[in-house]
Amino acid sequence: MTDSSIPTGNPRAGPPDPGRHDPVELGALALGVLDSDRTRAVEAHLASCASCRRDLEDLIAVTDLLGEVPPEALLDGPPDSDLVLRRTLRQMRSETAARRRRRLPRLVAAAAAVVALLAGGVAIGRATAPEPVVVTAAGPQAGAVVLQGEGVPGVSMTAVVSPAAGWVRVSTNVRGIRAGERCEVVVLTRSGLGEVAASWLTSARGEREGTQVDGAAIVAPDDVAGVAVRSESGEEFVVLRA
Amino acid sequence: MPDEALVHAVYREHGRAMLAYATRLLGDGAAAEDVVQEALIRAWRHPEVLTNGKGSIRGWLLTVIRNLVTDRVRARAARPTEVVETPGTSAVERDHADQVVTSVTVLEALEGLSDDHRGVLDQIYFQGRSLGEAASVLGIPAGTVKSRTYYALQAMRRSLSRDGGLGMEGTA
Ligand SMILES: [Zn+2]
Repeated sequence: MTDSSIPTGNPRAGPPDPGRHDPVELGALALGVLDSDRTRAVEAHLASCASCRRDLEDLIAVTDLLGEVPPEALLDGPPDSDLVLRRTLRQMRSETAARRRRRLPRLVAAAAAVVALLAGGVAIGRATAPEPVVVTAAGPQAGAVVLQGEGVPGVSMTAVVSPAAGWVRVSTNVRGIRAGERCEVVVLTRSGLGEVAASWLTSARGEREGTQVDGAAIVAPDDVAGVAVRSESGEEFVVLRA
Repeated sequence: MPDEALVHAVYREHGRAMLAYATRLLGDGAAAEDVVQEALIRAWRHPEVLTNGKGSIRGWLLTVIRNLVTDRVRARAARPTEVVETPGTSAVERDHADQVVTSVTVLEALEGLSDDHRGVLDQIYFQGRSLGEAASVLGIPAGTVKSRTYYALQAMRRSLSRDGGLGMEGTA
């Protein structure tokens, strides 16, 4: 289909004959945007042209159907704010966590046993994606837990969670998140909520070699369900569950 | 987390339309945000609808929003203490199933148009601009706007008669 004017049956150049057959103006007429001079001319033509009358009827039927579409339907892109997205992702995470808890009480118990074992400083082995493995209770901090694993392709993290009185320290090393991303370390609670422990802006070097970010969050040590890294807009890069 | 990626993609592509639509129907930004959140959660629970074409995903999302808004307005009306007529209420009252089917089909037809054709219909029909105004917004001559509206409506007509069921069959 072309947008250039179509032959109108009147090859003569010069001012348009008001009575000529030119269906191209019927669209503007159906939409009510044809100027009054042209409207009069086209209407005069319609009186003697059955083909244009049918054409116009069809086009008016189409514009009626357009009325069923809310004008907002043509807006593209995201809203100005990510607020609703963040809230939605939070709800999804908490529902997913709730389902997982209902489904896997045994696994949670097993993980707790591993953590207990680690208090003695035993190394279990390397993590493989996507299931994180508690590796070792490194460092001087008694009861510290080390989580290591991978998230979205290319992203990996090591997180050390050290208990304090009613809160935790978190020491993370995150690699593979593309430079320029505004990231947050989030401590996940058992009820599916998250507490931001730190935020940073990823550098090119951080993307390649890893970024060391330390923080803290008011989450009771025994309420820690895991550690996640997200973008400020809520995109999840890696989640390691304790 | 493929689920989250999916919801991200939906938000990036349709979030603006969803929020603007809900805001107009409810006349209340905070309530509109709640409704959009709920619609996104439904999309998350029904990922199968997200495998359709863009126009039909958009139509589905806006339909979900309209239904959620209708529920809210009804619930509000059922509690006499909270009967607060918002400017958007009347827009919801003409809600019925036929209309929903129609708007999804029409959206799909719009989506099937070339950008040029959709652009003139957007300007003229949805933004309510004149030929001259649309011409200067789009940076093309008014005569071109005029002919494009004709070809765009013709393309819509063909697409809608092909789909049938909208009273457009037999009109070709
Ligand atoms: Zn004619």
